[in-house]
Amino acid sequence: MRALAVAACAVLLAGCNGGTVDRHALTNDAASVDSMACEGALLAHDVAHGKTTVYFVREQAEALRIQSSNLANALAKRKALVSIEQKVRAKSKDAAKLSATLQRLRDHPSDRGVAASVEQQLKKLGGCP
Amino acid sequence: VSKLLGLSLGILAAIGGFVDIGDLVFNTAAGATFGYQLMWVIPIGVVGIILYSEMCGRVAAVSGKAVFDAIRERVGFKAALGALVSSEVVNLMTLAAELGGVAIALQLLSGLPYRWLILLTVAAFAVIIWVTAFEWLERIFGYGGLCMLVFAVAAVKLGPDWTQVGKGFIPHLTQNNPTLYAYFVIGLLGAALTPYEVYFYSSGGVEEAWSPKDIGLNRANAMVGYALGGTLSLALMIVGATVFLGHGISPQHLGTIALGAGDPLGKIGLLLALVGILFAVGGASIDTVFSGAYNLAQFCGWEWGRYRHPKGAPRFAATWLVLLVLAMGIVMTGVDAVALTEYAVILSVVALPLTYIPILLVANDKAYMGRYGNGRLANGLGLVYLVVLAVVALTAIPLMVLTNVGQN
Repeated sequence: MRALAVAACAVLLAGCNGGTVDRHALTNDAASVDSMACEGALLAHDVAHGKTTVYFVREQAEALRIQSSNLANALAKRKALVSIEQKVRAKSKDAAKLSATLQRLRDHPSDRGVAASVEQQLKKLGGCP
Repeated sequence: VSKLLGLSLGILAAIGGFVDIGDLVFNTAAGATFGYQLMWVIPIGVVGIILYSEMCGRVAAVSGKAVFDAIRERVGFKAALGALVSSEVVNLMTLAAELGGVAIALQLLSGLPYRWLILLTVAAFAVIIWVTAFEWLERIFGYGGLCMLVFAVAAVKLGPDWTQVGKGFIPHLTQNNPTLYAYFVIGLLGAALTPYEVYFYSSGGVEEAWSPKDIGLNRANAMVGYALGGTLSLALMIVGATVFLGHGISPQHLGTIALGAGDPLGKIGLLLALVGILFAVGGASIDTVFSGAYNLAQFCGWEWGRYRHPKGAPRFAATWLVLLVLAMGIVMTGVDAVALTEYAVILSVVALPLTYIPILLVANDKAYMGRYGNGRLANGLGLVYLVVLAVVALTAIPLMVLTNVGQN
C-alpha cells in the first residue's frame, strides 16, 4: 500500500504543471506553441494539396485550437519570474494568434486558398523547418 | 493444410493485433524526438514478448491452465493478489485509454461528437463481445488492424536515410538529453511488453483448447506474428522521425499519428491509417477487457471463458461488462487519451516483474511442465529479461517525474 501511495504521489507530481513560470517552463511552452504551429502548417499543406478529408481537418484543427487556446490563457494568467514576464506574455499572444489561425482552418476545412494562407502564417509563427 | 491455414490466419491476426495505443504513442513520439536513435529498443521488446508469450502458450498447452491460474497455484495467495491488483489497475487505465483512442479515430473519420462516440463504442463492444465467437473477435480486429501496414508503406515512400536507420539499431545517444532518452527506452519496452498481452495470449490458448500437440503452432505464432508485428513499430518510428522530427512537430494527439501516413500517401493513406488505428486500438480494447476479466475469474476460481455462454460463466461476463463501464466512466471525464496512455504504459512497466517472474517460475517447473519445461536458452534469456525488467521497473516512475511525463 505504501508503494502504491508513493507511486500515486509521483504520478500527481509528474502531471503537475502549475506554479510560477520559470525559464525551463517557458522553453517547454514555447516549444509546444512551435510544435502546434508546425503541425497546423502541415495539416494546412495537406488541405491545400487535396491530401486529406474534411472531417479529419476539422477535428484535428479543433484539437490543436483548444490546446493552443488553453496554453494562451495559462501563459496570460500564470505568475512568471519578473525577468521573463514580458517573454511569457508575448508567448501567450503567439499562442492566441495560433489559436485564431487554426480556427480559420477549422472553419474552412476544404478551402485550398485559405489553407495555403494558413500554412504560410503558421510556418512563420512556429519557425518551422 | 488446415494447420498451415490456421498458422497463417493466426500470424495475420498477430500482425494486425500487435500494435496498441501504447505502441502508437511511444514509437511515434520516440521517432519525433530522437529520430532513429531508439530503433534498437524495438527488437529487444519484441524478443521479450515472443519469449514470454511462448512460455505462457506452452504452459496453457501442457497444463490446460492460463497464467493466472498457474500463478495462484504455484506462488501462493499473497504474491498472486499483488500481481492481480497491479494488473487490474493497469488494465483498467489501458482499457480507458484504448476506448478513448477508438472514439478519437471514429471522430476523425465521422466528425461526430467525442462523448457520443464513447457511448456508442462501449455499447458496440458490449454487443460484439456478447454475440461474436472468440476466434472471430480476434480475426476481425486482427485483419482490420492490417490496415496499419500503411505505415510501413509510408515509411518506405518517405525515403529515409537507411544508413541512419541501420545505425539506430546500435544503442547510442547523440543528443544531450539522457534522461528523456532513458524515459523513452522504458516507455518503448513497456509498450512492447504490456502485461495484458501475455495474460490474454495464455487464456486464449486455453479457450482454444491447445494441447502439447499445439506447442509448435504456439511457437510459430508467437515468433513470426510478433516479429512481423514489430516491423509496424519500426515503421511508426521511421514515420515519426521523417515526418514529425523533420517538420518540428512533437505529436500530442492520436490524429497526428495518422497525419504521418496521410502526408506521404494522400487521402487513401490517411483513411487507411485511421481505419487501421480504429481496428488495432479496438482489438486491443477487447484484449484488455478480457484480460481483466480472465485474471479476476482465474484468481477467484470462477467459471470463465468466451467459449462458454455468458450464462455458463456469469461472474466472468459481469466482470468484463463492469470493466467496460468503469473504463467508460474514466474516459467520459474528458481525460486525454494520449496522456492516459503514457501513464498506463509507465505504470505497467512498474508491474512488469510481478507479471513475468511467476511465468518464468511456472514454465521452468519440471514437476508442473514435465518434459515441456523451459530449456537452457529460454531460462537464460528469461533471466536476462527479468534483470532488465527489474531495472526498468525501478527507474520508471523517477524518470516519469524527472521528464514531466516525457515533456522534458
